Parts: sequence; C-alpha cells; structure tokens
Amino acid sequence: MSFVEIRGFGKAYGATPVFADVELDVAEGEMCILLGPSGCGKTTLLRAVAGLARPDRGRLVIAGRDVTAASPEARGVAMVFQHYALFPNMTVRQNLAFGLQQKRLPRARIAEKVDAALALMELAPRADARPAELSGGQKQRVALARALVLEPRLLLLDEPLSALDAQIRKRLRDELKRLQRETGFTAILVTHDQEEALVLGDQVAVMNAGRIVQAGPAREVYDRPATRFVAGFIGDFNLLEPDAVRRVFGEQADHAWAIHPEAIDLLPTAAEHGGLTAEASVIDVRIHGPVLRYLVSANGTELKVDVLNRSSIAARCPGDTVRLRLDRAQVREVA
Amino acid sequence: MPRRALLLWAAPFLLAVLGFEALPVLSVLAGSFVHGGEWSLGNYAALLSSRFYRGAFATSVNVSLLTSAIGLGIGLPLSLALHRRSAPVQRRFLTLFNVASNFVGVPLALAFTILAGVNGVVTLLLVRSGLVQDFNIYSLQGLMLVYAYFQVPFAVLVLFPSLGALTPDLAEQARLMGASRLTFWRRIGLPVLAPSLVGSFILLFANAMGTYATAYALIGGGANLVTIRIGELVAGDVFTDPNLANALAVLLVLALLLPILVDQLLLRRRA
Ligand SMILES: Nc1ncnc2c1ncn2[C@@H]1O[C@H](COP(=O)(O)OP(=O)(O)OP(=O)(O)O)[C@@H](O)[C@H]1O
Ligand SMILES: [Mg+2]
Repeated sequence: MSFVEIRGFGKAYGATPVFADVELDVAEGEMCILLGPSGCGKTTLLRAVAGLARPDRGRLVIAGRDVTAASPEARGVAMVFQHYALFPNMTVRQNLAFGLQQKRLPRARIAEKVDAALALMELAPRADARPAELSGGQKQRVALARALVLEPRLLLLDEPLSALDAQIRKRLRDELKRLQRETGFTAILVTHDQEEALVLGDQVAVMNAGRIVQAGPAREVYDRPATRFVAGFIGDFNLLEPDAVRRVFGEQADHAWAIHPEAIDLLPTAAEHGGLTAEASVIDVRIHGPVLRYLVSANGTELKVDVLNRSSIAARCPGDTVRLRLDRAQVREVA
Repeated sequence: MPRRALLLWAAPFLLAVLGFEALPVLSVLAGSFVHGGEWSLGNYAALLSSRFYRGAFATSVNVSLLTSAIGLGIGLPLSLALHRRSAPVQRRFLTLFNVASNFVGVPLALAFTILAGVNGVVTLLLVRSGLVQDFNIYSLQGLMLVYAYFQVPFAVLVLFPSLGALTPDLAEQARLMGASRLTFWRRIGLPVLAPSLVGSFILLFANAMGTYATAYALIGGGANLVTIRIGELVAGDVFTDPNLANALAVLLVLALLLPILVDQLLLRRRA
C-alpha cells in the first residue's frame, strides 16, 4: 500500500471536466512530479489533494487514512502556492510561527522550531523582514520553510520555482532536492518544465487534458515514453511516422518511432558502422553548453541530433554531408 | 527639455491651481483674521467661546463619524462580496455605486422626502403596518439615513481597489495551516486591510463633514451643522458675517487635515 493513493479522481466545472480517472501512487519519502502543459488540470488536482477543491468522484488515502471527505486542515498536508501566499503583514518569523501557533504548541517550542527552520533555509538574517522586503528567491525559501516547519505528512508544491529567474531557479531546484534527501519529506510537485521534472522527480506523472498519461520513475518516463504526447513533451524526441522511417532508414515500422537526439551518432561519411544508418546534410548547429544541437535533413525529414561538445571548432558546418548512425535498441515505438 | 520650457508647459495647470485652489484658500485664511475691520483673532475667540458654534462642530463630527462608521460597516462586506464576483458584474455594480455616491444635494433630499417624509410612501407603509409609531426624516437620525445613502457606495468605491491585496490564496493558506475564519480575519485579513480602512474612513469623514446641500435641502437652517452655519453667515437672511464664516471654514479644514496628517505619520512609521 502506498503512502498516498489517489483512486479514480475526477472533477468537472459545469460540463467541462478538469481531470478524470486520475490514479496515482506516491511512496513515502518520494518526490512525485506532476508534469503537463498549461491548463491540463495540475493545479486543480493538487488543490483537490489539499482539500481546497472537492473532487466529484474518487478516493484519497494519505498515510493509511481515507481523507477524501476530510477538511483541508485535517489532512496533515502543507502547500506552497505558486505566488507563495506569504502573509504580507507578518515578518518572516511570524509567517513561520503562524501554523505552529494554530496547533497550540508552547511558545518556547515554536521559537525553537522556527529558529531551526530559519537556519535550515539560511533565512536567519532576514527573520524580521516583511515579505515586501524580500527577493523572489528569499520569498520562495520562506514559503518552503513555512510549509516544512509544520512537518506535514505530505507537501504539495504548485510550480514553486516558476516565478524565479533561471539562475536562482537552478540553485533552488538543487537546494530543494538536497532538502528532500536530508529531511525525507513526501511531496507532490507541479511543474510544466520537463528538465525540472527529470532532475527533481523520483516519480514523474505526465498529465495531458486532465488525464495522467504515464507515470513512473523519471528514468523510465524519459527512456520509454508510452505515447506520442509524452515523447513530444519529454526529452525533445524526434518523432518519425512510419513512412518517414522507411524513407530515412529504409525500415518497415508499424508505429511511429521516437528517437532521442542524443541516441543518434554523427559520423564522417566514410566511417565503418553497424546499426541503422542514413545520409544527411547539416542545416544548422547550435551550442547548448555541453552539447551541440544539430538540425539535419535526411531524405527530406528533419532530425535533431545532440553531440557532446568536446570541441566547438571541430563542429560540422551547415551544408556538410554526414552519416547518421542509430542503434535499433534506442528506438521507442509509440502509438 | 530645459526647466524653463517645462514650467511653460505646466503654466495653465499652475494657473488653474493658483486661481481656483490657492487664492480662495488664502483669501478665506486672510479674512478669518479680520474682525471688526482690523487684524485680530477675534473671530476665532468668538467661535470657540460660543456654545452654539461649538455645538455645530460637535453635531457635524458626530454625524460624520457615525455615518462613516455605517458606510464602512456596510461597505466593507459589500465590497468583499463584490470582489468575489466576475469582472463584468464588478464593473456594473461599481458604475451603479458611482452614480449613487454622486446622487446628493437637492435631488437626494427630495427623493427621500417622497419616500420617507411625513407623508412618504415608505413612512406610511411602515406606520400602517404598525412596525413604527412615527418616523421623522427631518431629524438628525433622518439626516444620517440620507447620508448613509451616499456614504455606503462611496465606501465601496474607495475600498474596492485595495481589496486586491487580499488574494484568495492567503485565506486558503491560513485555512490549510489550521486557522479558523475568525483567526484569519483577526491575524491577516483586517491587518492587511487596516491602512486602507483608516484611509477610507478619513475620506468618508471628510465627505460627510463637507456635505452642505443635502442637509440644507432636507432640514434647512434648523440643522446645526458647520457647513450650514457657514452658509448662513455668508448668505443668511438674518445677519451675515463673512469673516466669521471664514474662520469657521478654516476650523473645518483643520478638522479634516488633522486625521489625514495623523494617518500619514502612522503610515510612514510602519513603512
Ligand atoms: N474555478 C474554476 N472554474 C471553472 N474552470 C476552472 C476553474 N479552475 C480551473 N478551471 C479550468 O480547469 C482547467 C485546468 O486548470 P488548472 O489551473 O488546474 O490548470 P494547470 O494545469 O494548473 O495550468 P497552468 O500550468 O497554466 O497553471 C483550465 O481549463 C481552467 O480553465
Ligand atoms: Mg497551475
């Protein structure tokens, strides 16, 4: 039995369903990522788990207790809202203490816990500042600290990093991962950033149009997308329809092929090789830091190819003819 | 652009401010120090030693405080309710409130006379049904009812924009943390709104203190309000003393400035 069990969750606003038939299992101490495009129902699903939205059908179990009908405050969940929802009239310290005060903990105990949380998140120097005086990254850390200090059974995070700029975002992402390793909290995190999902997620659940289309370990979802949609959404797959497969590689295929850009090798035309091969010409090449991203055309079909960037000087130029090589085992057939 | 050219562009505005704002105030201020044809504080001495004029201030302040409290008391829940509605609904109601808050003076007094005067429709209905013995709109209570008519929508108009600070996720966050609705309002809702509640109250207070035509049309000279006394001293039938009116006006302005200054000081301390 899983720590969090979502069974047959469904919700509609009027006639339009927001999500339906949602099944999800989250193990204790696991970070589960809900990944999906804008408007697919991630926030609403998270709010339903928190008890802030009422699902029309389905069951929710947290830590062995059926909380489907429980009020939000009785579920032992904490939530970090997308815009943090810090109480603007309170200092950082007061924000952190608020939830503990509602639990009627002794004053000394509250101070102790708040100080520990401030130290953990390196917020001690800003403890007496009000939210308006904090930077975006600091606000984010306060929101996280305020949730963690309550030691929730389940932590819900709605795009916690999306309001931050790229630099801080990466740093806080790593910090979040470290925090989870150290404190071992169980969390469901919503994002529409696939990289964030793969880095943070023990489990990744991909949503589309109100349904979970695939859920599993991050590695597995990345390696074996179950559908075309997942392939398109995760990992920048090349998607080849059967007739494109025939034109490029001369193979018969029943389903479309999904091929990771890094699964294709670029070889000089004369090289020896096994596996599937194809002739192609370089259309464009870009430096993405540690990788070079080629756009090549093989028999009229455009493909993305990633190559480790050992030396940008040695990069092929647009117009060069190259040979593509691919292991048949790297191909994922998707329906 | 050089400073001089900027000044030239601003000239029409500055002239308007000078002619229609600054000069009248200055002339009122100067006149208030002229007593019996000489410079003196005689007008102020006369006002402050007069029970009659002190009474006018007391009545004006009482009526204004009470109707401002009524305005906020009804206006706050009303604007909170409106805040939860969709944008088109909000627009429609705000237009309505805008009209209502500007519906003052003789038309408003007349409307209330027809509805709630001695032979007003509502009065008659209430009296016939035995709910009230009699109701006199031409009293201070009546006056407050009429003031409430424009104070409530005015309160909604000045409060509404500030409600944006109270986003729904604050209430949800507090709820998830185990706070009751009461706790939310006590610890978060009201403190967040406090500065704008104080600011709105001051605006409502000034709005009521400065009301003249509505009161005059309803009760006439019988209402002992500061504005009515001023009007009487300037254009009364019995006797006039414009400089005494000037002094009265200056005191009225001071009574309005004082709360604004205190509010500004409080805000600065908090920031
Ligand atoms: N209160 C509501 N009333 C009606 N429809 C709603 C309501 N809340 C959400 N929806 C609809 O439900 C759908 C899913 O919304 P939701 O906010 O869950 O999406 P999301 O996946 O979180 O999107 P995003 O990534 O943009 O935040 C949207 O089409 C939205 O219009
Ligand atoms: Mg969302």
